[in-house]
Amino acid sequence: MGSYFKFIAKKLLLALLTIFAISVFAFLIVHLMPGDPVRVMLGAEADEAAVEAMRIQLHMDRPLVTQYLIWIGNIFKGEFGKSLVLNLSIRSLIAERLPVTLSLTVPAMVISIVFGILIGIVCATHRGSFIDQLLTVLMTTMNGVPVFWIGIMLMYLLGVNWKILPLMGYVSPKADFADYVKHAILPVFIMCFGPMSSIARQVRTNMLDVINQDYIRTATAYGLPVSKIRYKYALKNVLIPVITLIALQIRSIVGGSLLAEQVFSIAGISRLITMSVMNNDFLTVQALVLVISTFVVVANLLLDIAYGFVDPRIRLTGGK
Amino acid sequence: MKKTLSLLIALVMVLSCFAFASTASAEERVMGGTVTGAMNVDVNTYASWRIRSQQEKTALSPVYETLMRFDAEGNLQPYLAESLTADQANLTYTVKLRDGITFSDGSKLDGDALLWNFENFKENSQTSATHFGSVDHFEKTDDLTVVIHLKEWNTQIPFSLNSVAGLMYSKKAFDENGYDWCLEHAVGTGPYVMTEYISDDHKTYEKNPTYWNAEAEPATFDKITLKIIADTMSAQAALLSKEIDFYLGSDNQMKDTLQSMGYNLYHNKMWYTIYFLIFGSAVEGSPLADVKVRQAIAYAIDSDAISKNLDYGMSFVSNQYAVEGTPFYSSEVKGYEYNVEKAKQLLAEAGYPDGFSTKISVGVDQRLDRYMVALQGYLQKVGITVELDYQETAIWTSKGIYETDEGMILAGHGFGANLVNQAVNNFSKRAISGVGMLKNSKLHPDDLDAALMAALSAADNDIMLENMHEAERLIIDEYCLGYPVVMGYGGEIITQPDIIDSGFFADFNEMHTWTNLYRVK
Repeated sequence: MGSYFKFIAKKLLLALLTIFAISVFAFLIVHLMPGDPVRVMLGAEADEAAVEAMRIQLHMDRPLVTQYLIWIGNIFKGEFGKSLVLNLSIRSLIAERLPVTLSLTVPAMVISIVFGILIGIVCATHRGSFIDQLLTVLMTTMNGVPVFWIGIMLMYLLGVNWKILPLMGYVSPKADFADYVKHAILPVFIMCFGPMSSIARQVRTNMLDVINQDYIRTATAYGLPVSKIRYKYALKNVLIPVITLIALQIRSIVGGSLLAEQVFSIAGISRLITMSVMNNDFLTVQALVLVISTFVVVANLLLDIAYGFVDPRIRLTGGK
Repeated sequence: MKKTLSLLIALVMVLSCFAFASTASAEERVMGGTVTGAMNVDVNTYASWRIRSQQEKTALSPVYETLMRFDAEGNLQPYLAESLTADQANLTYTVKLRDGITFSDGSKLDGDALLWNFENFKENSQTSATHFGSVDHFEKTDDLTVVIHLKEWNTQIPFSLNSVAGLMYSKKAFDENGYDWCLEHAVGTGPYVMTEYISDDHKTYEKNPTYWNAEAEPATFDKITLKIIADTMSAQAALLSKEIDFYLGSDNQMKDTLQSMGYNLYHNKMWYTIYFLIFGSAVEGSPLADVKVRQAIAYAIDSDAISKNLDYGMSFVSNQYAVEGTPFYSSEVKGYEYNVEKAKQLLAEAGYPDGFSTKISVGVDQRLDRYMVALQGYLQKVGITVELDYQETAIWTSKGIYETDEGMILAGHGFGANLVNQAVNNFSKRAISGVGMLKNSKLHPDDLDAALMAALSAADNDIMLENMHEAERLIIDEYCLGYPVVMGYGGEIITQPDIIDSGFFADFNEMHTWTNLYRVK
């Protein structure tokens, strides 16, 4: 167990280093841009005096390292500054928008994992059957068709033609849970699309591989119940590479939320980042890049820790 | 004969009935209820003096009103102001307010509030230089009167008072809550009050119960909801499913599709966007320094085909820096009809019978790809090889969009009642020190500069227009300093068939009159 803690400590250290590297990158976004960032923020029509005043206000007249230390110091204090465009505290903007995005991405992730694994198992255990072929074609199509197109098509079909789902907008689950579900179905569905098919295909391949191995054949020969063999012995081994894939799919879902929030007009954190980029609101972009990346890094860290529970070799050897 | 006459009378009576029926139905407004609209982007401010974008003007027009307003015929009239008196000899404009106007917070629009609004705009607005650049100071002379003292005469002040500089914000709200609060709260004199907003999601407005002008201009809806739908396809779906009643921000294809399905398309009558091809000529010996070459380029471009084929007929062509039907339009300007042979002849006369190579620069944010490729094709036909130069937004903005040394620039900008100001900033010698279109050009003809400055400082409207018309002729025909590729409408909304705009967008004003938007049965 000691080596497992070492494993966690190593992963934690790596996560902190990654977050540090991201913070440097997020900070440098402004400086890596071509042209004068302050001029870009204020527009071509702004007076030179206004540009200079803004440069001083943003500490951009100071050395780069000093600027970084001021910025990161403020972030440790929970101060992200004020949006240059909306003139609102970035912290309050994040506090307002993050729950919206999480209330869509978390269900999308859960549905992708649960249904992805289930579909993968069904396909593997019914290999070659009609259901296997149907689901495999469906999963391959889901992976290949552009999600944006699917979103628009579903919107027209379910919202415009059949009028069974609202076309857009968001309702908080706290305000009205039933309405939240109605509004969340389409965005969550398009966010799940790619990740669910990737997980299902991975599970199917792994399952087929595992159920043909000697220890499963032996267990079958001993007359153990099929369900016990599949779900107790085979599934654990199937899930180890799937966890890696799930970690990758978190990024995919965060990316999908950008699209979903745009198409379904949801005021979440992903739309805030799009709007901030388009309006040259670099302070907000910096803060959001840091927050979203930290969220992905932490999610990946938790999955790394989960490895230890699924794979005893990691618990015992510390992942060596 | 008798029978025929009886039949004719009967026919006339039947037709009259139909005519009356259709008039009655057209007039049958539904008062009250809710209207739900949407825009493609949200506002960045709620304070009147920070308003800049079309979306901000639309979203905040229910709350704010201007001192001056264009009437249905396009004549500028006092609105919140009772009178505006110009005195060129003493370099002053005197604004006298109507008595009895109140803000939605109950405070009065009086001389103190007006003085504060003017001073605050001059101090804090990002467009202060455009509107109040010629103002020296403001002076309150009585409870309802403020005098604007100018450093130099400026004919554009009345137009500025029809624009954002003429919007009134509650001084009481500012005094009680401070600057930052005002940036997030709209408090005006308009027919509606904003009751809720969720950034990037929606805004809700309800009837202002104490609206000062409710008798003459009653609010047609009890409630307005304005959503943000960034994606055009999603907006189209929302219109088709009747989830929204109107949309601001559609692209040409969407407008074309929905208009053919019976949806209404309304546009402003004063505000337009011009897509100008500007000829850079900072380099000595550049072919573009020769007026014949510039004219050849103008003749080589088929603007009608660009408008029809690339913009689905949703843009239009004007031969000058003004639109027919507006007072700034000059019938004296000839412009350049598409004529390839004439273009080749002019190039030969200029010493370029085989053409030459040049470039057209554009900012990637301008989304003008469709025009760029078409222009490249047209110029190739007369032997001019064009390299298309797409500049990153950051570079384009930080160095100034008109600071290209050689070649041409394609850029769009909005204009309307402020055309004289725009023309002065872009084409007079002031452009060199500012950020005007001819900033980096060596072409700053004295007669054009004189005409533009005379328009700006004219004693009356007629002299202003006379000089502006002359400036148009010089810009286009005489020197061909730029070629107007196509014109777009400055503000356009697409509405459900039962939503009628009788002067909401479809009028001459920059801010919108929400009481002119209504539903019919």
